[in-house]
Amino acid sequence: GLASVAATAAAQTVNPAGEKLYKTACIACHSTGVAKAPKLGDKNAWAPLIASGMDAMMEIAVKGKGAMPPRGASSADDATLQAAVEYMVQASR
Amino acid sequence: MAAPALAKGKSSPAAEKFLSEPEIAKLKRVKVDLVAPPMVHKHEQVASGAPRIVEFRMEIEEKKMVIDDNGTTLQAMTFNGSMPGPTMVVSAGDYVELTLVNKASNAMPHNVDFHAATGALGGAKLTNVNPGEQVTLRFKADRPGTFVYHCAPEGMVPWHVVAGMSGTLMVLPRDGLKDPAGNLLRYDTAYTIGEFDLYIPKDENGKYKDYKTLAESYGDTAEVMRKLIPSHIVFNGKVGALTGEGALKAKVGETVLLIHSQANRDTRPHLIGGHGDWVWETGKFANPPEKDLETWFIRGGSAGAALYTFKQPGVYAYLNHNLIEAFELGAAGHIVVEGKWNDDLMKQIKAPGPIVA
Ligand SMILES: [Cu+2]
Repeated sequence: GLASVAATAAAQTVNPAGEKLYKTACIACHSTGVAKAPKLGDKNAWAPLIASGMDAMMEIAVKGKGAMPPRGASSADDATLQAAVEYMVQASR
Repeated sequence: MAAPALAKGKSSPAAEKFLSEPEIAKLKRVKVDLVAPPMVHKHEQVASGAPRIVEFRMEIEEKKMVIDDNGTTLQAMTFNGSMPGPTMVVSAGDYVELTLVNKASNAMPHNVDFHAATGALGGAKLTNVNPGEQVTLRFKADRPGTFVYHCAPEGMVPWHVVAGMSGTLMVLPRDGLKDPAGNLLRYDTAYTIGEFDLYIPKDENGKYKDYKTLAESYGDTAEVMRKLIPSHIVFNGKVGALTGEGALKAKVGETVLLIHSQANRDTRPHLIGGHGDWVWETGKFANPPEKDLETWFIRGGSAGAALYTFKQPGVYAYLNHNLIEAFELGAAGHIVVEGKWNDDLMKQIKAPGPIVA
């Protein structure tokens, strides 16, 4: 029915590689806020980052910032990295 | 108003003297070059002069290490590239001044918590360094003993510890080690052993996983850690690190100090064919040592020390006497001892042969 069509459409917009990368690597710092990392789910911490836009967040994700190493110290490609950023943004709105 | 008066009456003991910054500035400075375990840098067992400021420098190095003979790898984090980190030795009353360097090639922030130090989470709060940074911490080593130091970054402490970031600071009494009667105890050689419980994840086929980066090892490793069952337990970074070429060496008549640290999990050291002549299993030298121990016990989160004078030659095993942890998981090493056999202490009266009636 309509509901299942809608669910399928929603699922397609989420790249599961993002959550996987988050749970593999990013979680080390972003679950508890190590070294001032914005915590997953912390709306206040994420609001200014989300407002800065995906390009700005990806710039940090790729190049690193402060204690955040380039690519979050992972070997992920840009697409997977962006999926992880999207996962964290969705969980922190 | 009675309570404050009482508190005033019980003021701190007169022996406790705190130096001012100008007084500290007048102390003699010495710089110590650290050496890789199991060796311990040269040091005095009885302090020859007044308290000093002892300068050390350690570089943090993240690296992938092979931890067994099957090529299993650990995404390790180390002080100075070794597991354990180097042992530092000072005398009680000395000041430790450590410069901690987090190499630019590393990925993670780190710091250091000294169990021997007082305040600021052992120094951890004052030593947070990102890759490419260094920091210098000074603290007074005012309690004698063997003390663990380890990395403790807020939010990911256990991971950094079980990935290799721990070592020992030994603070000797200024007048040396003593038996319970107050007689001086000396050693000819000090060895340092760091025991590490490792939590290497397996894939769906039961094979140990190999990770491209340190960060990518985190999620799976944390899951194994939460089950509290180590995949490996090793001395000094690898199964067999202290056997063969790496075996410790001694001679009959030589007194050896064996320093044993375990920053995370209990262990029970034992020297097969030998003993602990004098053991500080809780590692604090102001307490009288125990004598003639077969097996001693190091609490997870501490370092202990044992003295032994060898009386027989041969190859000894030094191990964690949960024998599964020793022989299956890796917590065992060797001490090769040269010298003359003593028939009075032990003699084989008849070699193995067929049973006779
Ligand atoms: Cu660390």
